[in-house]
Amino acid sequence: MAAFASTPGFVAALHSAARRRRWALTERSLAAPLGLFYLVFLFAPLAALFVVSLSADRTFSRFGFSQYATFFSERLNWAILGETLELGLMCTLACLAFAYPLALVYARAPRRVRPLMLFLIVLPQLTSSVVRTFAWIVILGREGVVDSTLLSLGLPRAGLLFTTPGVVVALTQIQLPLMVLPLINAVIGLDPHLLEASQSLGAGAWRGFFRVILPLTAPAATAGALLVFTAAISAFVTQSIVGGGRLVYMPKYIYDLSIGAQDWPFAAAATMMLLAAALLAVAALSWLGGRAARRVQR
Amino acid sequence: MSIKLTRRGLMKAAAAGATASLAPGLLTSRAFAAGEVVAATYPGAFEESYRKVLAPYVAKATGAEVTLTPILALDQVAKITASRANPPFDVALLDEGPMLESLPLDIFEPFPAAKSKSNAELGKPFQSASVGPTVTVQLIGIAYNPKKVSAPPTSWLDLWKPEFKGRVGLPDAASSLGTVFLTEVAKLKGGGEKNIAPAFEALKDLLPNIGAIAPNPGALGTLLQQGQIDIAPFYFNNTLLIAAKGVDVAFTRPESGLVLVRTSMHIVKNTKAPDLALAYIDGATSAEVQQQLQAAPYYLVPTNVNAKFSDEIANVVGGGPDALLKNPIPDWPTINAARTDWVKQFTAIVRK
Repeated sequence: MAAFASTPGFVAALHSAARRRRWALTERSLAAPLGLFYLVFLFAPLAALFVVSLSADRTFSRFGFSQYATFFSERLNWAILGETLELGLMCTLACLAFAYPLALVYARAPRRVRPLMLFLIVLPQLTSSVVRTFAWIVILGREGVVDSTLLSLGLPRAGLLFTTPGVVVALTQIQLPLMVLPLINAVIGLDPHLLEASQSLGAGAWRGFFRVILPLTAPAATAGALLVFTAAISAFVTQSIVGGGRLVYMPKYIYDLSIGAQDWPFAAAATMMLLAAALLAVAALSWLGGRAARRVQR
Repeated sequence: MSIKLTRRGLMKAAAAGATASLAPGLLTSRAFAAGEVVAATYPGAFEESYRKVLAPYVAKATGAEVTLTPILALDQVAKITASRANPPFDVALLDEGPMLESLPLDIFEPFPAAKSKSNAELGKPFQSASVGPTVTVQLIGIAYNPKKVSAPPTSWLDLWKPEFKGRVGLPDAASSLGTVFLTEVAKLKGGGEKNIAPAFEALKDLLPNIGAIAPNPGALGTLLQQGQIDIAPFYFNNTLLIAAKGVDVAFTRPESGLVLVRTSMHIVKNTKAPDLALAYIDGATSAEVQQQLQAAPYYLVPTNVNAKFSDEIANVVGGGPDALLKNPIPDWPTINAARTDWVKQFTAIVRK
């Protein structure tokens, strides 16, 4: 039915019906309910938040860009924003490093094993991310699994809890399915003859990966990277609990400013800055993905 | 792998979804029976204490259903101001700092002291001034692991001792606990609420000793339990509650005194059940409930003059209600005005 709906004749018929001023099921009117939903529940609150960020003080007496000026002038704010974006980047790279081998193993596994593998990959998603975060505290803590094992082997403690590597590890495990699932889709869609052809031309396993598999799956990888990056920079619960109070990222900072200090205008300005940074990253990744997709089609 | 999407299938799914969403309503229809009161309470020790003692008492006295919502003080203020016409709970529980901060927001009903049964029984400093009575006084002192810390600490400045390197836990600056820690250290170093700079100077020297900073006060208990930290500023009732569960932790009063945080209850404006809300607050301030709550393992200091201090409370306070009030009470109006600045300074110093 989808194929039928996309034929040019069908679309032309729809448009001419619309032109005859009778209510017709065009693409625009079909998308209207969801569009209205986004307008009312996403864009309108964001616009309201932007207006709040323009207030110069908590009583909303004067308006201007003073909150943004304050944000730009204090080094602390830049440092926190930078560290948050850095965390997102590290998490994305770690997810890529784990997801590719996993996707390749899945693609080469016998068909009977694949449902079991898929279940194991998705299994963490069946528990809430809060539960998984607390599990990481048990694993990474001073009396936890990692440190106890190292001590019993006579090695020094890793002390990963409340450190940046610890947060990256926990976030990577929690966000990994977001990267693995698009990659699996892309890898099993690859023409197996391409890899065979590259082998017969003399390419080894690594070159085959970098020259054949990576470019062909790049669009899926950038899609996964988009999901992982935005999820990692806004993962309030994991950042706060595994990071502790000394690792301050934007979500906890905004929470402290808004609910802790009740400074709503400055918190709104900080939120807008985080949103702007995330949108920039999304735009960059989308451009990369678009470029990769065009190269593949050639 | 493709899913056939037909109109019939979609209709069936929609009908199933609609029926499923009705099910919770059918199961809890008894909520429509005798009225319901939703009360906010702090997560952790407070929630446990109220769930086991106060909620059954109020349910028996009024026949209504009592629902407790665990939520921190400042979050309560945020939620109420976000939906004033239809507040998410009928009774708010606030520390003095957030309470004073929220007075100009006009989110509480004036407390009907004449209709209240227990308000007159409270000590003079605890009776309702305008918006609600003080239901308990939280005591802030030093919690420590007696198995790992040989001599009980005597002062806040003991946290700076080199033997505690990497073993000290601190609350975050946005909480009452964190704020009070800063003001007490400032006072010991020659400053106070109006001059907090000495505390931040001292905080820089404390950095090597800090083992962890808890994202919220309740997490300090978890850190003590896991052995991640051995000493921290903490609440008296929280400490004894986890000690009763087998955690190696003890509580001590610093020489400068226990910091008192008065915790009060308020009827939220536009509540649908003002009488039940008043009954709930009366229950919390009644001698019967407070007598139970100040015994093991809850240890909530009573404000009703007819509830006698238990031995543990009398011990840590150093006497009776008169001795209690000799302890320092923070100057919250000054603190509230400077809070944003303190949060930023604290964050700038402690972040790695």
